[in-house]
Parts: sequence; C-alpha cells; structure tokens
Amino acid sequence: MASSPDSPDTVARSYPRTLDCVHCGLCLPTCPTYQVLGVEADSPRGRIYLMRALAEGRVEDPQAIRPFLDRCLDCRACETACPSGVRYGEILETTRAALERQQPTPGPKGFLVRTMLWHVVARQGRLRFAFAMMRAAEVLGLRWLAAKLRLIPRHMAEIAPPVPTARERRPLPTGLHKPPPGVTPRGRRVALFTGCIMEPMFGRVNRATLDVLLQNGFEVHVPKAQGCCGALLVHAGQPERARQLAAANVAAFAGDEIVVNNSAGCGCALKEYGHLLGTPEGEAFGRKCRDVTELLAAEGLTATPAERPVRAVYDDPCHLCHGQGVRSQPRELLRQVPGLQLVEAERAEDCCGSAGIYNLLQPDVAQQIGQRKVDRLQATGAEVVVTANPGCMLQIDSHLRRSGHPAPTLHVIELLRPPSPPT
Amino acid sequence: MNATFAPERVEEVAHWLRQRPGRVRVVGGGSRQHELPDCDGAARLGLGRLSAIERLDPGDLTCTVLPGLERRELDAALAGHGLELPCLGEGTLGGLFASDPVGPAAHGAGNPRGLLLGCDAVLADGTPFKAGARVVKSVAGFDVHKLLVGSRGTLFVATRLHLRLQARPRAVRWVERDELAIDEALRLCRALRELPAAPDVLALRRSDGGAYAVCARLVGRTRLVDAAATQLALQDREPGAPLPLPSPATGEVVRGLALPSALAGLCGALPARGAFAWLGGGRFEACSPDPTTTDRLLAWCTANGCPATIVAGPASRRGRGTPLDPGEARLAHGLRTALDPDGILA
Amino acid sequence: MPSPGAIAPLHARLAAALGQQRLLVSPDALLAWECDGFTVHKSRPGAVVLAETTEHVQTALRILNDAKVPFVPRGAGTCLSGGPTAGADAVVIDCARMRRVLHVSTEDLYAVVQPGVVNLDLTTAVTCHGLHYAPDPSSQSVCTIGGNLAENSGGPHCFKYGMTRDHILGALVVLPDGSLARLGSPAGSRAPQGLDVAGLFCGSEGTFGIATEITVRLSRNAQEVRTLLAAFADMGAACRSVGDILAAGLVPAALEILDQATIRAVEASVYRAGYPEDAAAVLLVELDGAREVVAEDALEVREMFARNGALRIEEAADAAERKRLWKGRKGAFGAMGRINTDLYVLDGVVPRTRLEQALAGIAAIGEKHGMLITNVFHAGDGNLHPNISFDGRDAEQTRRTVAAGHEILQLCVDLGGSISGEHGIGSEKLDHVPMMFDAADLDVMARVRAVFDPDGRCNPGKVLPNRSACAEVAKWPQMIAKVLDVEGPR
Repeated sequence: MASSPDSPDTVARSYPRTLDCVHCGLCLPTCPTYQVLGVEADSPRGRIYLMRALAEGRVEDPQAIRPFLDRCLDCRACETACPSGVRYGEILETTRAALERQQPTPGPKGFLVRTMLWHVVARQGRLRFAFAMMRAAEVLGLRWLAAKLRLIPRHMAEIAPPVPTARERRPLPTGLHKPPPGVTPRGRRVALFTGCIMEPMFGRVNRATLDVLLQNGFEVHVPKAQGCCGALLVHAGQPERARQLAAANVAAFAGDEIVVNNSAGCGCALKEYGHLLGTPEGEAFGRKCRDVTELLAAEGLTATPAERPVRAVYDDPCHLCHGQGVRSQPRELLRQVPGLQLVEAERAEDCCGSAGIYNLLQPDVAQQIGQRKVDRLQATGAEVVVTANPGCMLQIDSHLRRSGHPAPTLHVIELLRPPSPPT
Repeated sequence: MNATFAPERVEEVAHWLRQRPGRVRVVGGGSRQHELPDCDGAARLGLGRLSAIERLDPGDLTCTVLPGLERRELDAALAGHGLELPCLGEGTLGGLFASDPVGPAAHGAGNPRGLLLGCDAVLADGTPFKAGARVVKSVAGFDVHKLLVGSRGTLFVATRLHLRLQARPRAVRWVERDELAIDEALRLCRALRELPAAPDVLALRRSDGGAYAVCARLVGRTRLVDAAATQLALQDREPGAPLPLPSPATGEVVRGLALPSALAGLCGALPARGAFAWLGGGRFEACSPDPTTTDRLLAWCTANGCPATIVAGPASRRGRGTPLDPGEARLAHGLRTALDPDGILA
Repeated sequence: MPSPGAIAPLHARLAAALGQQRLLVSPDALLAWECDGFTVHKSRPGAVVLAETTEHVQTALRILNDAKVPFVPRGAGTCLSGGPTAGADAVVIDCARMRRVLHVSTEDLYAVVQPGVVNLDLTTAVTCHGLHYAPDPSSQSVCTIGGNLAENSGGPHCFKYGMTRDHILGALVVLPDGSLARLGSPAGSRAPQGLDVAGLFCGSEGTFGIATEITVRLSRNAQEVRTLLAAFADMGAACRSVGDILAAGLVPAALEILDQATIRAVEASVYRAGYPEDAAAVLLVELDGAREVVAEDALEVREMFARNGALRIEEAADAAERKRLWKGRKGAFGAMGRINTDLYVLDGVVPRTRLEQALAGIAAIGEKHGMLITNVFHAGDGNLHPNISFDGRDAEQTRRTVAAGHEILQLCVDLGGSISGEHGIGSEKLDHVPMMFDAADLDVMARVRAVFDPDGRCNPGKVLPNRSACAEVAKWPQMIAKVLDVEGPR
C-alpha cells in the first residue's frame, strides 16, 4: 500500500525512494528548469540529492533549499528519462508538503496557494462566481485598472486571456446523455470528469468532449457531485485538503466503470488517488480513469472528424506523456482528421512552463521556458497548435500571442468533431 | 664534429646522462638534423643502435619498439600480420615522433600523437621515467609522453615507444592526376574528400614549374577503390606522400598549417616558382627562393590564421615564423624549463 | 593553504564582480555539488560560481588567485572518478551555463564551443550539415564538451574514431592566475615545430586550468551505418567473435559487450532494448562507411557470429531500431541502480586478447568478496567497466566493494593494462596510481602540472597522490582507508 504524503515521518518515508538515484545525471537534459537555469540544484538529480540530505538530517535550514524545490515544474520528464526508475514526483510532493507544513509560504504566493486554490478553485460555485465577476470587470474595462492597482498579479494579467462570455462558461448539463438519433450506440457508458478550470475557461472543450463521445456512440454520465481533482493542492504541498476532494470524487463516480477526462493534469492526479488516499478505493478509482484520447484511440473512432486542411503540431502535455505514458494516442487520432497534416516539433515532450499554477508562482522561469516552447512550435510552420491540457493551452496561447503568432491553440478533442454537430 | 655516444642498451642512456656530459644533441638516424638549430659543442647521443621490436601483439593492435628502429623494418614486420602504422614518414621511429610527424594524413583522420600510447624516457639529468601505457586506451596520469611529438629531443630522451597499430585496409591504391590548374586541383581535392570511402592520404602539390597535381591513397575494397579512380580519372602512382619536401640547395622551406578553406588563398600567396605540397590533414610546405619572398608568405600566413615556420634555410632564419599566442608560448617555455631546467638537451 | 573560512571574506568581492545571481554560498544549497557520478567521495564546496563567459571565469580566478584560494572546474557532474568534487576550502567554477556553440565551419569541419555545451547537443546542432562530433561517452546526452576535454573522455565509438583528444584542435584556457592562453588552432592542435600543449591539456582532469572556448573537429556522417546484435550462451564466445572480427582486418565503429546481469537490469528499466534476457552475453557491433563495404562487412560479421554459436543475430533495420539497440547500452549505468542503492562503476583496461582471462579473474574477485559484479565493456579496446552494486549505508559492504575494486585494477595492471581507460583518476583512483607509476614518473607529472598551476590550487587533490596542495581533499583516500580498514595509498 502506498504511504500517505503527509504522515508524521513523511520525509523519512520517501527517503528510500531517493536511494534509487545513482547520480548518473541522465535526467538533466530533460529538465526544463535545468535547461533554462543551468544550475545543478535546479535539476532533478540535484533536487533529489537535496531532499535526500534533508531526510538524512544534513540540511541545517530547510527553507534554504526550498527555492530549488519550488522552482520544479513537477512535469515528470525526469521520470521518463530515469534508468533507475526513481519516482521523483512522489518524493517531491512528499517533501513539499513537509516543508509547507513546517513553514507556510509567505506573502501573496502563500495567499494564492492556500486561499485561492482552496476557497475558490476547489469550489465550483465560487469559481463560477469569480469568473463572472472578472468577466464583468473586463467588460467595464476594469482589468487594466485591476492590474494597475495590483488587485490581480501582474503575471496573471499578462498570461490570462480574456475571460470567455457567460455562454462559453456555462457548465455542462449533468446527468446521463445518450447518443443522438442517427448514431449507432456502442452500448458503452463512460463517466466524464469535467474539471475545475476547464469548465469556465474552456467550456468549449468540455462540450466538444461530450459531443465527440456521443457522436462516437458512447453514453456519457456527468455526475453532479464531482469537483476539483486536487492536483494543484498536492503540487502546492497541501495533501490533506486534496484528500477531501479526492474522497468526494471517488464517491461521485462510485457507480461508473470508466472515468474519462480531457485534462492531462487532472487525469494524472486522478490516476494517483491510490497514493494520495492510501486506500484500496483510491487505487481502484485510479484504475478506472482514462484520458479521452486514450479511450478513443483504444476503442476506435466511428464518426469521421470534420475536414481540416491545416498543418498542425501536437505538443505533449507533461502529465500525459510523462505522467500517464500517453504519447501515440493523440497523434493517432489527429492523423484520422481528413486534410490535417501532423508535424512534430523539436523536444515536444518538454514542459511548456505552465505546470498548474507555476506560471503564477515562478513567472520569470515560466516565461523563459514558455518562450523556448513556442520558438520550437513556430519553427515547425504549423498553423494550429494542438495539446491536451487546459494549463498548456493557456500558456502556449499566451506566448504565441505575445510573439505575434496567429496560430490558435486547440485541444485534440476539438479537432475530432464530425462535420455537422447536432445543435 | 663532436663525439657521439651510441648506446646499445636502453639503460646506458640514463647512465651516460647522469655523468653530465654537458650539452647534448639527440640523434636518431640523422635525417632531420638539418631542421634543428646548430649546436656546436654539444655531445651527440646517437640512438640508432637501440633498434628492436621488443613486443608485437597483433591481436591487441599494439607494439613496443626502441627509438632507433627504422620505419621500414617495422613496416616489414607488420606487413606479415596485415597491420600498419597509420602515419607517413621515414627514418627512425624515435625521430619520426620527435620531429613533425604527419598523418593519418587526410583531413579529419586524427593525429599521429594518437599512435604514441606511452613511452619510457630519461630526463636530461639521467632520471628514467615512464608515461602512458602499452594498451590502446589509457587515461591514467598526465600524458607527458605525448609531449615527445614535435619536441625534437629537447624535453627528454625517449628510450622505448608503445605504439598503436591498425589493420591494413584490404585494398590500397595510390593514385594521382597531374598537370592541373589550381582551381581544377581544388575541385578534385573536394571531390576526393567527399567520397563515401574518403582517401586516408590526400595531397595537393605543385612542381617547380607551377603545375598542380593531386595524389591520394584510396582504401577500402578493390571494386570501390577502382570505381573511384575511374570516376575521377586518376592514374596509379608510386606509394608515398610528397612530404616533407626535399631540402633545396638554395632558398628556404616554410612549413605550416592551412585549412581547406584557406588553400586557394595560400596558393595565390605562394612564390611564383618553387615546390609546394599540402596534405588533406592541413600541413603544407612551400619552397621559397629568398628571405624577402619567405617573409611575404609568412605575412600572409599571419594575416590568415595559418601557423607557419621556416624549417630549412640559413641557420639564422630557421625557426622564425608566425607569432605564437603569448600564453601558449609561455607554457611551452615553462615545460622546457620544467623538464630540462639546465638546458642540457639542445 | 587557506582554511575553509578563507572563502567567506571573498563572498562580497565575488558577488560584486560577478553579480549576486552568479554566486551560491548557502551551505545547504551547496550540498547539491557534493559529488559527481562517483558517489563514494562526497565533499561540500565552499561556494559555487555560475560562470557564463570567459570574462566571468577570468574575474573569479583573479580574485581567487589574490587570496590563494583553490578552485574546481565543473561541467554537468557526470564524471565517474570524483573529478569535479571540491573541498570545503575550494570554490566550484560551474561551467554548465556556458553552452553556446560559437562557430561551425562546414567546409573545414570544426566547431568552436563553450565548455558547457552538451556533447550530444553539438551533434544535434550540426546534424543538418551531415556532420557529427565523434566521441560519444555513454553520458553524451548530459556530459559537456568541457568535461570531455578535461577527462579525455572515450565512448563506444572511440575504437575506430579515437578518444576526445583526437578531436580537440584547440582551446582558450584561463590559467589559475587568471591569465589567458590560446592553445592550438582550428588548423591543428600543434603548430609546426611547436609543442602539443593543447594535447597535453586534454586529459589533465581540470588540474591545469579552465577551458572556456574549445575548438573540436567535426566528422562527416558515414554513408551507411549498420548495427548488429548477437546473443551468446557464454561470454567466451562473445569475446572470441570480437577477436575474429579484428583478426579479419575489419574495423567496426564500435564493439560492445554486456553480460547477463547487465542485460537483465537494462531490460527492467525504461531503456529496455529488447536484449534477450536468457543470453550470457550480448555483443553489439556497429559497422559504418561506404555502403558496399559495410554490406560486405556485415555478411562477414554474421558468419563469424554463427561460427561462434550465436543464439540469435539481430540487425537494426532503420535508425529507430539502431537507437533502440544503443539505448540499452547507453542507459546501462543508470539501470544498474535498480540492483542496489549504490553503484561503483569501475574502469580498467587490459590488452584486448586478455579479456577472457580478465573477466574470469573479476568473477573470482566478486566471489571472494561476496559482491555481485556485472560487466559492460568496450570489447574492441579491452576497456572493462565492472559494476559493483552495493548499499553504501552498510560499512561492511562498502569496504568489500572498495577492496574488490582495488583487486580488479591490480589484475588489469598485472595483465599489462591500465587503471583507467576513460573515467580518469580524479580522487577515486589516487590509491591505484602507484600500481602503474613510481615516484620518478609522478615527479615528472608534477613538474608538468606546476607549469600550469604553480600553487597547486586548480582542482587540488586529484590525479597525483600525495602531491596535493589541498590537504583536505588529498586526505580522502587515507581517511576512507582508515574508516574502512583497507590498505591506503603508499
């Protein structure tokens, strides 16, 4: 059974995992922060070494090593590269939780991590209200003023796209959806996890997901009781709160055999509920979860997507390729889009710098990482950038816009819609 | 002529040096002495009698020889095993490595220092030491033995050399095309460099008369070698590369390094007449009729990043050349002082 | 030599000259610089300078020269002999940020790079011109050209193409006093009638100075590359196949052997390459050159495999399969980490014809000490990499590991070989240097070193036993010997 990330002897528990590292360094070139910063302590090997030293009691002031751990994107690219099989993410999250407990993050960042994440993001109602207020402010031209008055962080003002309209933000109807008339049912029922940010920010992606699933003959259950997956809280070192959310989701999907999601970050967290909750129920829930591309590639498309005569590049979200090992499926699906020419960017598996709320907490590093990402995407000459995670969509879109590039950023699922969507 | 001490056993070298014979000039076969500064009054240490192949391990691609061994004797012994020492040059092996060894001579084919795996040697004060190893790969300790290359006997006396060998290619054919204009010759050089089986010796030379010729050693499989020769209209020629140039009766010889991209410019800057040769590895030699012409050539070399030195001519002019980087010159001087503080080895 | 406290007063000067963001002094953060790939020796440096330019290195070295404080150059920290490990009284000059390719000449086939450029990144940068940088240490996706230069690194393809030194044309070097020396030139490492100072600098393990611009030779990609794999039921047959290939006058680009334990560790890792796990040995042969020649060579090699009773022969059909076959070999070191918490990667050379004898001797040493010793090696060069997996928290296991390592290296020397083929001496092998070199040999090396570093402040305590000016690091071998109760250096 997996250990809980915040049990009393947390760091000591993750210690044996740090011993798997033989200091070979093969992870260094895969780490976006090491690539940008060129500092050993900002590499996976260096961070593991620091966390190991912490567990061994050799670190005098744990807060002195914290900046290096905080700068980690938790993108897991190092796990993909590690020949020894070090489970870096678990070690990092355990250590972050211990450090956060020892000394909570001060200042606005701490407020963002503790208050915003818990009270706003994790509660759908409040989140919807917040977005409605922001939209109102934007319509009244107050966004500029808010940024000027530092009511919203400067970086958020830079990276956040305009808030979508109320129509765009409307939540997905809950309950059971059946395939429309004219579509042959598969007799398969899946449940859809809608996510917290995806709803108000990318309602169109959720609607596309529902639509594509239905058009391909699936019955889709959207449970009302579901909520935020808790991934952002785990990354921010607050596993106890994340656990409450996880338990609620396990209960909300209790009657479902397959839980589909369209957000790589959420999907990765959902699959790791076993580790988070430390219960057999959590393990079982994790096994039920699929990324929507994983499901569709395995089951096969029955509805041919609409024609898209464009040159498209697919960018791997970290939590899909490194976190869930899903690499070929989105590409396979995109190749089935008539007219679409799929091209590859250099180092497609490198993190884009979004990483949850990383771009708010570490704006300078995120900016450098994001710029490298869009430079490589632009080099492909693609007219459309495709990915599979809301954070990545925001980050890539904002950097493309900043460099004056017209390519839109879409979710894979948006390109899989058949020609004439019903209503 | 000064007295020559010619030991027959390796141990005698250290013993003789410990007796402080004054200034010493190390001599192998004597074929390259004209390149050295004069050293009147120095005792001569002749290594020609230290001539033996102590070990030959064909399976390990290594051999151990004494410095006075003639190249042709080693070649004969290696031929029986299908092996060769991939480096151009004649004379004794000690002299070969201590002078300016050339090759494997095509551009990109490495450096002769790579063939010297280790050595036993004696410092000027008679202290024996060793460096390197006798296996093909070793990074143990600082590679002091590599300093023998180009040291012309001024740092220490090498008394035993461990060398790396290679399999002799299954097909070897020396080919040539002559009577070429410079641009034709350069095009042919480029074509040869870009062959799928690039030649391991490539040379451009100019006769006294001014016509250019390109010669190469093609290696690989017979069919391939023959096809390349036909394709590029190359004729057979006698084995042997055109370096070093024979020392002219009058005038001077400049030796230097020039990259392929500098070659056209260098040929344009050459004296109107006189022999010239360039190897694909970058080394060139040019004959010059008089000091003024030589200095003009050296000025061109300085301006174009081609290190060059006068290696034959009046004693007062030998060793002059393009300026060395002051930092490197300081280190080179430091190394001479460190290994031979009393300046015994001339 | 100054005490560890001597660095603290320099913090302000270094920070003022270089910028606070290029200096790390927090003792806790500095823990990350405690060791390289050789984790047996650990020592926390007094400070780390994150240099980005030649001027930064010069500035730092001048300040350190004034105070006579030692320093240690570092690249990506993948060295396997403790080369970049620094004492508490020393400052690490970290060159990982110096990663610009400054110039590429596609006609003259050379590149000028900063020392922090990653080996594989250089090849990637020139691959569009049909070129590559030939030396390929297994860590090539991580290790830096500066580190390669310092260590004279090898790799599988060195059998045909030579070590790093064969590809170094020149270097701009900052000497320990902060002065500059430009060694060699794109046209060659040694000017006619000059000394090969650049050649000597290569392989000096960071004890002569810090190279801040390095000129390397680039090589044309071969017209054809073929990678073959043969699995054998016994190690002897694999070694005999290598002998046959060389005796036939073939010159493969690489000849690599992995033993069964290594195969199994690799297959259990993310670097699994599809090696047959029931084989006692796997031999990887890469042939490259003109298409026709390679095709003929491949046929001959297959015949030799068959004659030696290969269980299975496989050939990579395309670049992706070749990459897969190599992936296992290149990831072998890290994959061994699955066997136990710590890994001691040894590096020794024997004459190629003595390989079988050496492997038998190594097995006997492992048995004697009750340690699992696995082997993955460059068979064409006779360059062995015995790997000992152990638990470093267990003093007895560590003692037996060190003792077995010592005996293996003595075996290599007794068979006419060397104590290091490519990993270097560093701090790891100070004890073993006397197996190969006596006092006179070492004295000559020390004289040569003093030309570059008269105060002994540049990477002190490395390469030359008992010659160190930095007492603390030099004491390592003796200290470890004392703790572990094994024989220390003479």
